[in-house]
Amino acid sequence: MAKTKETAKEGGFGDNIRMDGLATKLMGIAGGIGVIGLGASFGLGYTSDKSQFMHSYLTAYAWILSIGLGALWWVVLQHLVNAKWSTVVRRVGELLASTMPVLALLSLPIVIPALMGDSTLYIWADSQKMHADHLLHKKAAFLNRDFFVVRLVIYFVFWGVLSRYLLSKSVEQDKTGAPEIRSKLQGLCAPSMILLALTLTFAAIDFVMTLEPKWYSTIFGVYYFAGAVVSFHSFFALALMWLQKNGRLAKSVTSEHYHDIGKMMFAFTAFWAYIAFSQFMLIWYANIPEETEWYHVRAHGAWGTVSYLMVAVNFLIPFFGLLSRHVKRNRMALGFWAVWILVVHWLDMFWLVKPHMHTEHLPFSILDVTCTVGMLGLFIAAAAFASQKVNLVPIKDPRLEKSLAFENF
Amino acid sequence: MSHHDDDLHGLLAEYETPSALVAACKKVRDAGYAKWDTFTPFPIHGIEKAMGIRMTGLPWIVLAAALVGLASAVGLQWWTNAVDYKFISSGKPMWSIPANVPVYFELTVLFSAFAALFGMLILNNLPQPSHPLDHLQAFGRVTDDRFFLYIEKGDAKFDLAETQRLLDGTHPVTVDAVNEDRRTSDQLPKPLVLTAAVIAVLALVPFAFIAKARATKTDKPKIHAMGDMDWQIKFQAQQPNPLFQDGMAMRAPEPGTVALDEHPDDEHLTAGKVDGQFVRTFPAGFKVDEATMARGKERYEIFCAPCHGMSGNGDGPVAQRAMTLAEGTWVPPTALGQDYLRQMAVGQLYDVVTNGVRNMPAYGSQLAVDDRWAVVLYLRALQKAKAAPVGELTDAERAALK
Amino acid sequence: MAMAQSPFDLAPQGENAFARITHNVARVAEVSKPPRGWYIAFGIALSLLSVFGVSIGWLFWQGIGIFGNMNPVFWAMPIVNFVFWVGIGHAGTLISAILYLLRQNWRTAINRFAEAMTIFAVICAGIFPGLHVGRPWLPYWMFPLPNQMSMWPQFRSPLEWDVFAVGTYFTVSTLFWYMGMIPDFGTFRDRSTTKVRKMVYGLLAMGWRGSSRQWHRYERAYLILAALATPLVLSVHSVVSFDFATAQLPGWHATIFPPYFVAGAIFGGFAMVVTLAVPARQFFGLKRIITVGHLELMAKIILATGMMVGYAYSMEFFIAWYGGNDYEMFTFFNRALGPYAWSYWCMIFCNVVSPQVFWSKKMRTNPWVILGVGVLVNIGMWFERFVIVITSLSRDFLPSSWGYYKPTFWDFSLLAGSFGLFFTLFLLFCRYLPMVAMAEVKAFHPSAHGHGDEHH
Repeated sequence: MAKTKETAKEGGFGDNIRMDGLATKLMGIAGGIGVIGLGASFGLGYTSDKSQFMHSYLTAYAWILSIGLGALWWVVLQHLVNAKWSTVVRRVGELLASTMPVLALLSLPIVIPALMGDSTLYIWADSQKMHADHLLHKKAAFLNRDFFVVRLVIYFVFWGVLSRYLLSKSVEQDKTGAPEIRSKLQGLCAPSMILLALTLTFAAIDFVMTLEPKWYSTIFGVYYFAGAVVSFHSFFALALMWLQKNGRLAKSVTSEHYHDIGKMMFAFTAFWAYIAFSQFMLIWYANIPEETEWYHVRAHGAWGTVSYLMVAVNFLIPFFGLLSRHVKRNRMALGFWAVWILVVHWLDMFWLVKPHMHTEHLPFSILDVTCTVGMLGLFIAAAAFASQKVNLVPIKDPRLEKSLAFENF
Repeated sequence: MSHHDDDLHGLLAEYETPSALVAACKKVRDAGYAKWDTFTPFPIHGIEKAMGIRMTGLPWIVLAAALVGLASAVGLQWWTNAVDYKFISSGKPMWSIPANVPVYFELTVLFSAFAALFGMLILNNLPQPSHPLDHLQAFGRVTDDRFFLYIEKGDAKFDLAETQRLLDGTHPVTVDAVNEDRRTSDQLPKPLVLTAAVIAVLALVPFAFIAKARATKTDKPKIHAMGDMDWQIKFQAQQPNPLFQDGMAMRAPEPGTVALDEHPDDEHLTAGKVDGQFVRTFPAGFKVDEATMARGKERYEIFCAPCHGMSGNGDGPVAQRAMTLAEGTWVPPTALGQDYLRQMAVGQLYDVVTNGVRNMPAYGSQLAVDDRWAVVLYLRALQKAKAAPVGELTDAERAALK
Repeated sequence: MAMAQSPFDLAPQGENAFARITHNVARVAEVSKPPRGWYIAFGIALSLLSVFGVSIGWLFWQGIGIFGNMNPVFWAMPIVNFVFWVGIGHAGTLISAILYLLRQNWRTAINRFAEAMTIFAVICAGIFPGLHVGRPWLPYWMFPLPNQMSMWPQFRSPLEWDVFAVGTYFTVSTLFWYMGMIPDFGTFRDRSTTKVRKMVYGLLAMGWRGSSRQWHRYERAYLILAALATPLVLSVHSVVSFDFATAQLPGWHATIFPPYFVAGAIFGGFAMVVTLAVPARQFFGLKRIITVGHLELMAKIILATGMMVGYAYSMEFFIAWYGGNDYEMFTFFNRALGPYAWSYWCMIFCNVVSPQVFWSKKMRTNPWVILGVGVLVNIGMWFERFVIVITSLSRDFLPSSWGYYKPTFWDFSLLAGSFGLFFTLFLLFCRYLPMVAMAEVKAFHPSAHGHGDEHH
């Protein structure tokens, strides 16, 4: 257990709930790693293979974006269902969701080339190629550079404003203690959830599905969502463990909260498998050429090996690993599975993106590492930046008492 | 309450609230009793700890059942579809794992659910038809609004006075002595046994009928449960039909109808004739090459060899069998190497394959046009092989013959 | 009975909260005469049930020619009714299992009869595939039996998965329902005044006496069953959706079908729960147990799942366009503007538009508005299946084979009759079984905590 000696009292709260110097330190280290990682990526990418850089970058971006969107979805959900168990950890979720501006900036190396007509990633960025293809030219009304940018602006403005607003209202309650903020946010989160569902779906389609513009699957948004939720909860568990290790929230967050987060990791591991299986099985069974093509590439050669591996590492192994309640309540064990899930979820993104680059072999590269580490660094730095002046617990939320005393059955 | 010591089964304390009961539990637990229990109308949160109840092993039973269920589903689908009764369906492999996953899942859940319910009942020693507590009027409220703590006399630490004192110290409503149950018969009630027996016998009746049906034979025709499925009101092929002028149910194609592989303009190809004369050349566009020869050989060996023999000597297995049986009406198949056949126009050979001759049936409906020509080509090759001039042999072949 | 007119509106009796709960629930099954409303409802249900019996009899006598099924609509109302009823059957186990895992304690007010509803709905559903094949003496072909033909079922067929999914679902739901009732049967047994009641309820209770050592295993088993039933609910309607989605027919083949069907089933199931709950609490005086607060929560779930269904409708439309497949595009165009447009817009109105009234607090706390929307959603969900099955089949790839399907009288009489079966079973359940999970309601009552021993 973490040490609990230093107790900064904030509003009579008997636990250390301020980041103080830790935020600056974290910003420095994570931000530094982020800048170095991305800098190295740009350097390597500029001097070597552009296609490798673009695909590695998109893989890493799809991964980090899913964590951020998972966080935003989680916070909206907690307000929407008026959840009580999560109040004590909700602020950390809000901070992770408030990274949206950085995620928007990180999308630029994908958006700018597309805007300039570079079709390395997206063939639709080249309008000539689009019009030359009988099937694709029908889709040009949706798949074109201008509309792509318009959509992205809508997504990021909505996500940014929503996450910012949820955090600021929650922080405002820390000061005023106004209980009506709860019901106000609950009302706001109902329509927000609908918009979030639509923007998340279309973001997944835009960034990943349109890599193969002829392929389509109605469930694709749900697939990306399932991965986002499971990886967010894993990241969330690790973030809480790190905070507790550094003496923050040491007393407030208990095994009960980890147990619930672990349940979500478990449930959404199964949910991801359900969605992945549904998508695969239906396409495999109907065997319609324009759909099967996508899986055909992923079912043969090196990609076939990755696909079989994913059945094990993304579903079977973590499913049985997280089955027991003892695992969910044990920080070491849960931390292990959290790291595991983040890695295999990255593999999932790799599996979605990279066959577009090479259908024969697996284009692993040092760029995969540098891009991922770089984005992770900047993501953490952004969350740390937001955490500087706020409490780590919404201390005047009327549900806090229940959350602190919460026990699983 | 007076009682003989022999009759005593245990002491029962009654409480008004769950919290009073939980407090009492802690005292009894700390006093070191083992054979005791509490009885409540609903599960009380936290009483496990107060009573020192250890976590049940039920989840392990369920897990084991789940694995058995999964194994059964794998085995069932593999055995039935991939081994015992194979047939192709929508081009899927015989053993199609993606298509088997739904049943894997369902049977896993089914077995686990049975294990959860029946495991719980068995571990709880249910059904339990009678218990000494049943004869206490006050205990009837255990399923309504009262909370009870019961210590059995069989407990090693049980001492009437001591235990009574312990229970009195827990603020109960009352403490009652409970006698051994000597009134309830250890036989099951007669009506119950009778009902169960009747149901069991009745349940066997359908199985008896099935067993009888499977073990006996009948010469009666099958039962037509729904006549209009077996005798549908419709005209079948070859039947008369007064609706049409020609009185036939089957309709001839419209004049000028062309089937997909028909080439009505190319008489050379489709009939082997030009202007009523059999052609002596293969049709234009017919490729004479190794692939066509191989195809012709394959078709020949399937369709012709049974009678004419593999090398065309008229000694195929069908012919041999007919000879052995000495069938009077049997016309022996022609040996194909004969001279008049070697001179015959390819068009005529094609015509024989297509329409048959003498006793030989027509193969036009079984062989496509190209295949018929390929058979003719192979036939020519056979004929040539049978009477090849020495001049056409290679040196090696000549050497081998010597 | 002092007040002949409404024996169920008696003031709650009993000296404490637990006794009051027992009394409120148990008296429904104990009074010698149920309220007049029950008789009227039961009479209607029985007449519909006899319609069902006559229709099935005529079907077996005459064969499936009495259906409106035609070329190319070979699958028609029987499959629509099957999917409709299976969908209804989802809310029960969802309320029991998923809400239990999510610690939604309010579920205790409604879980028991939602579970009963599930079982009766699945019974209704299970009848239709049997009727549809037209050979009622051959349904054993569905089961893996070594029969006289040495033939096994075809496990690569989604219809065979259905047999296992629906069969498992029915079995597990029944086990779950029965297990939940064991303690309540104990209560009924202990309150019995006649020997027959004591015997019957005693047999059903299996000697349950509320031992804490037994409660411990019981609760663990309940948790496990809930954890098993949750993915099971998802699987059942997913498998039903596979019946359509594995095909290549435009309008059927969509990868979103499994979660979309599940959301739709929950949506329709909850609609049926409120349709039953509003009158039931009125008739049997259970307003104190099934409160307006509970109804409001269900209204919110109906709104949420309605939005999910709306999401699936829009995704299908978007991908139909985005996919660039002419047939797919035509199918969706045809749904909205073709000969069956009336059914499509009926579905959209009932499923997407009508639940929108629940954005207003005033509307979602009014039981009669909730009842109205519940009925509309039931209608809409029936039409959803009608739209999927009929519009897709009636306009397939070859325009020469297009047709217009019209249900016959017997198609409708079987649908109406299945409601008769459903309501007959449901009304018998209300009369003879514990309609509310008494033990669970008590366990969540504020005075049920076992902590405060310091007060003594």
